[in-house]
Amino acid sequence: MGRVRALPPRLRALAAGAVLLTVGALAVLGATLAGGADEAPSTAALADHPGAQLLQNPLPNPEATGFHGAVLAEPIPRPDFALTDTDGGRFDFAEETAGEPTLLYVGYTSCPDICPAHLAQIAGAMAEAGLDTDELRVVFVTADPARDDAERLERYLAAFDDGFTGLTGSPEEVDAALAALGQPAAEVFGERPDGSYEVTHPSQVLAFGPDDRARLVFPFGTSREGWVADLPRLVAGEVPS
Amino acid sequence: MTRVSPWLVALALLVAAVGCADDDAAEAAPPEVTGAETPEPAAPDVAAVYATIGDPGPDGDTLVGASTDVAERVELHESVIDDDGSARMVELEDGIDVAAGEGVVLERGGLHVMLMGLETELAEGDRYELTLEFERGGEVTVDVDVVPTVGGDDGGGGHGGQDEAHGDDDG
Repeated sequence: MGRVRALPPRLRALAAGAVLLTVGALAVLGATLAGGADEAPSTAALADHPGAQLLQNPLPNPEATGFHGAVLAEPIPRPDFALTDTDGGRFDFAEETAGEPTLLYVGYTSCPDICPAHLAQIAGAMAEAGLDTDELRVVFVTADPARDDAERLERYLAAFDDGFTGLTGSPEEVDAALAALGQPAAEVFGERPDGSYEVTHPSQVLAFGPDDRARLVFPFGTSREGWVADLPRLVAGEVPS
Repeated sequence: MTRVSPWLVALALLVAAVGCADDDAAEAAPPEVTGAETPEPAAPDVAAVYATIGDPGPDGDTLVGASTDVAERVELHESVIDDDGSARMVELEDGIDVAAGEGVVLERGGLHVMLMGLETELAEGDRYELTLEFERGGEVTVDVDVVPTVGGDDGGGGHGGQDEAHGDDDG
């Protein structure tokens, strides 16, 4: 029980490495050719981005940190990206959520297991902790904009809490949002004859405090008690030391 | 033309082998399946089934398939969190091992049955039938309860139990 991952997917790690290298190389090339006028300029700095810590899959250590989420060595600043909310309006994440405690999660609605379990855990923990979405914003960014339009997203999120914010956009905008978080673009895989497919996405939920920094990330599998203990402290602006 | 084709011999042997396998399957009982549940799906077309599959006996067994009237297609899946923290879902084409003397738990964030192309809207309180097919034990049909989308602790146990993992590291 000491390990969290189900499999040691060496091939997958290699593939992810290759993708990172490719993304990095393309970004450098793009920046050189276009003078950095790319839509996702931060892609070039992916490896240096504090969000790259997520790729190390940091684990919580409650005994040492007092928090049930994983405490990041370097805080991640609130990312600057703009997508479309489920009312069709432009949603500038950094601007709209500035100063507000915010949970940010990237997933997709056709994911039957991890995504709904994560969102259910958040909704359940918030209810248990007596927090509503005025006190703690919850923003879900789809990694699958081709299928997740505003209507589908809105209906999906309402099953958990109709105060959750759903964001979608063009594939390029979603990739830019991921890059702003220091994350590689989502990968489509497992295409089926009927056209359905699966998408990779970061498994962690980022928790931004009122100081616009994420110092905590919640891996999948964080217990309900863990969430209930941490969320009010996040909202209160408590900073892990 | 009187020579018997080796392919025909092979086919005959295969038929005999399958016949024997069927006899074995008929003798073995499927493992007990309890606590089968589907969280009321948030998406209109996909859903997951979780359950506890009991001890299949000393020879073990494999869950090789599942079917239900409420969905067009059913697959056996495992959610995997890679070393880089990214989540993805893997279809288990070889089935789910049901360990001898133990059984297996299908739970959030780990092994699950995925329903695709829902043909019936599943709402909290509903109950539907799911047939699980085991390699040795044959088929068993269970009732699956549709439970609230937001329930108790939805964190999953085995794969995602980070708190537990750290508990193990104590010492």
